[in-house]
Amino acid sequence: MSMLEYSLDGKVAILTMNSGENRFNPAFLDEFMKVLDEIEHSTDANALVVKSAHDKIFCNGIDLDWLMPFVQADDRSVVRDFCYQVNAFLRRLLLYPMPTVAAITGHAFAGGAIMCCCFDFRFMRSDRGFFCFPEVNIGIPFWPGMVAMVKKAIPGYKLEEMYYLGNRVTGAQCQEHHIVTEACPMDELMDKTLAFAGSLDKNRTFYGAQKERMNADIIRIIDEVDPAVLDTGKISA
Amino acid sequence: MALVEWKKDGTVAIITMNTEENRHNPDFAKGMLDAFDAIEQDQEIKSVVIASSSEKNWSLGIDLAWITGAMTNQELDSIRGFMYDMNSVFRKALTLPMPVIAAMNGHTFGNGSILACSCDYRFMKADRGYFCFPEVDINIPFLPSMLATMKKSIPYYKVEELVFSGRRIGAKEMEEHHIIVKACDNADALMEEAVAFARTYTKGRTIFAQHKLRLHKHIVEIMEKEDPEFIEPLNLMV
Repeated sequence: MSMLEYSLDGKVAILTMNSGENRFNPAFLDEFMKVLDEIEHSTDANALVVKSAHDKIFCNGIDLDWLMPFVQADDRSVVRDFCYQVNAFLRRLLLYPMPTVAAITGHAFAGGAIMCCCFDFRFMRSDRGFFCFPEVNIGIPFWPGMVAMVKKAIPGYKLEEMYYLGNRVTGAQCQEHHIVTEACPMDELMDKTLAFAGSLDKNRTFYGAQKERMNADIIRIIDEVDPAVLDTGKISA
Repeated sequence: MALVEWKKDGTVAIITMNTEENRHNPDFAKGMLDAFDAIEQDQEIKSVVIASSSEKNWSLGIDLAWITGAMTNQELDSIRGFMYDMNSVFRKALTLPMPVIAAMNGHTFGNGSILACSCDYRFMKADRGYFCFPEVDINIPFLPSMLATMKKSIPYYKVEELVFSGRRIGAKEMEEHHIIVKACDNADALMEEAVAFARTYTKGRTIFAQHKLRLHKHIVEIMEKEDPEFIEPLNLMV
């Protein structure tokens, strides 16, 4: 079975991440970009839902097992290229020309939580799973573009708490603080997410243009501010 | 009866949009700008309330009949002029040296919703009327300054929902999400409470001008630098 698969439910494309903890490494991101291209160009989908096949993890972010040896070897060109690849992926999500909805089927940690913020909408299971930015505890600062991404999805008062504490937030708390549209038990999550995604039914061209303008400030930071950080080829503080 | 009228009630100026739907066209823009100018010249005035005389609508946004006709007749300069004039109306509300309060007594759609967001505070009647950005369903993307204006007045999670869904929401939901100060019981209560709120403001114009200019500096900059790139080629629809 491949790392990522998709199916169509009417005009809603359902993309399933099927790679264990769904950690970001070059192969996973490369495949993800290909599937996004395929859904955009080979289907008439007008909404994208992303979920995970794992029973308790949505996405745990960067694959540190893969990356750390390069960091320890101070192989900066590999680290730098990977950082740019992560940014290209998140940028693509931010501008994907149809409504995007994350069905957060379990833990969303670090890069996985940042990825969730790049969707237009989030639904999350309430019976288990945490949303968390542990970066403060593992000494990896956010890139400027990532700070802008999480500010988009999380009210300022709550972001400061999560960003500076690295505390774990439940689905119900995410709903209370407007980080997700709705939190519900796992057995209702997909029905609700798909019903919501299916109800939007928007024109792709318009939607893409609107996202470009809505997220223009984030894109500008990714394109103009991040390179100075990424070009150092270092990710630790 | 003029399209836009205003009167003075002590320190409060009440602007009344005077047509059934209060659609935005060149005459509407001129009426609003004239009213703002006259109010600014009257040194006794300390706050402004924008109301509508229609029973059903506060403002339904751009006058599509006018703009479609102008498009058909290729009156491109007058469309451009109108877009810039509406930006001037929004800018005036954003920078007037006193609080500007929208008293939404009915449906507020599209450009009308942007006008409401350009104000410093909003009240709405709860017994009928919706607030909505239908642009997503009619394929008209917002100008960059409009998005910045909405982000100022609506919590971000709710901006995303409203912009990307085009859903209509009522006054109670707006109050819950802090888009308006208060959902008032009916049209009479709305005017009474909005004007009473306006009357509590008697701040100095000089400080208020600076406060608003600094708080909204980024919106004015976007209006000046980014909007023309869409208005000049009349790249208004997708």
